[in-house]
Amino acid sequence: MLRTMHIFCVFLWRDFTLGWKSKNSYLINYILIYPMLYAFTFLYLQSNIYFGAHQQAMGTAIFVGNILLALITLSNKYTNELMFDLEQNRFIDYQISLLPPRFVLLERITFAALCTFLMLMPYFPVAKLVFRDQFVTTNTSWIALEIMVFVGAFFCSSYNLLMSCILRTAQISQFWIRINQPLLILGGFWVPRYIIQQFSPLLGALTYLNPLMYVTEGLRQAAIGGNQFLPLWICLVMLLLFTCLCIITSFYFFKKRTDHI
Amino acid sequence: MARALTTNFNVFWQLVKRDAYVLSFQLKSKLVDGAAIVALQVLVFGHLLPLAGMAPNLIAPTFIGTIIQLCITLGYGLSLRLLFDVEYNRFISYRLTLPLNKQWLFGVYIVNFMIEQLVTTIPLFSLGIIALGSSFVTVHTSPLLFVVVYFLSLFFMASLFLSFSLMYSFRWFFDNLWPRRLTPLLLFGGSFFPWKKVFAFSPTVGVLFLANPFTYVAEGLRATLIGGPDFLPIFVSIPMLLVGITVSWLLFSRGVSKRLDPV
Repeated sequence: MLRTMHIFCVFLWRDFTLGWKSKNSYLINYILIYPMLYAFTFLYLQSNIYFGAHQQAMGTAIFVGNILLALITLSNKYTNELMFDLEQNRFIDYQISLLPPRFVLLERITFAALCTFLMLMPYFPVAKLVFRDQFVTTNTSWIALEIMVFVGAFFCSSYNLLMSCILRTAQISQFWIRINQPLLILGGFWVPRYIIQQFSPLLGALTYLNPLMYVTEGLRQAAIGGNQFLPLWICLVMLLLFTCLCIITSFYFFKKRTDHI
Repeated sequence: MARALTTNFNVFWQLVKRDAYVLSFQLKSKLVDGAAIVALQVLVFGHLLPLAGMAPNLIAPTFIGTIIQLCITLGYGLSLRLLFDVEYNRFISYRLTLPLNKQWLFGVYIVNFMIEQLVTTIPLFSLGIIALGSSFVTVHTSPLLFVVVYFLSLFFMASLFLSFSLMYSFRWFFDNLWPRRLTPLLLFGGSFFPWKKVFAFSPTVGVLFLANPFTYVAEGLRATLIGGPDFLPIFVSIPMLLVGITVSWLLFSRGVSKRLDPV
């Protein structure tokens, strides 16, 4: 067990060392560009042009949900290496000869979740520093907000790793358009869940099956609060359940792709 | 001279036909992808955002703006194809050896991209407008001018996306194209907001939007499909689109000599 843990840590260290090389561009993109662009568009412009001058709360609710795109794209960047590797170099075969396959997958999820969280941790504080009054934070629990970002990063990493085990590279584009885009939009990227519920109770009920909805609802609960959003503990429990489901399913598909004993 | 022109045209035509033939096999899948995008846009901009408090008179302009998102998604797919080809397969190297002037060869890529965008977006665009029904309020539609603006917009997008795939390295393209090029172009391009609303809210931001060619795509389409005084005049959008096409064509030529280095 000690040897396994040692190799697990060595692999994790290797991934961090390799990931360190592209840190500059990711830091610029995810700590500066994305929060500034989204905050400017959705906190400042959209909330004033769409909803009127005194509707900053709605602007904040929409902006908080927009982090979903950064969460899912960034965790995908850290996990999709497996998809390419399974079709080309098969470096993974060497890794599973040293470490039990399940631990190899857990290591990749841990690496992706930690990197995604570290990159996106300053997302909301940066937006608050720049767009002070536009970002309504009177009821914000910053610790709960960062916990939600972490749990969201953990879920998105396990989800993306599962997809890397299932999909072929030729299917990426279709998968993003047909699966991820509906999940994002019906997962509260544009509007909170209670608006979807108001529009159609059936669609509202279906959103309970969408794990991304728990990410946005949890973030909104932490940032704005109130009974229009789902309670934080429900979001956390559901996200952990969906994460476990993704990890267990990825074990199955990984075994199919690598055919390890 | 006439003989060279005929040879160029014949090879050009064969290449366009070949790519159109390949497209015919992918069309169904592309239409399904487009339908998924449009259905979601109709849901968000036609129903959900108005419920959240967006003014109903913004439904039609914002829906038209979303056509840019569809074009960007398709354009990104096109640049990926060329990017992978330049990096790995080098089918383009074979094409460069054909008895065809280089400008004509790149014309093939532009024309095929425009055909692909056209056959994918027009049916879905029309379906979206039908789905929005009475929410899509028009003042004065100009079909002929719409055709002109649409043609120029597709030409602009084709040259822009082709230039993206040749200007940047493989790694840079994957890491930075969305955050540093496409997202700013999309968010500051009047796709989500009519330009006059932005200008009325903040003149400085309004002027900033004018530096983005996507603003003229969105405003040109709005002015010709919806009409009325709420959008940039068409005589501003059309010349600015021509400027955008010239600039992106220059970038494209630079990218060609940088990555392909044809003699």
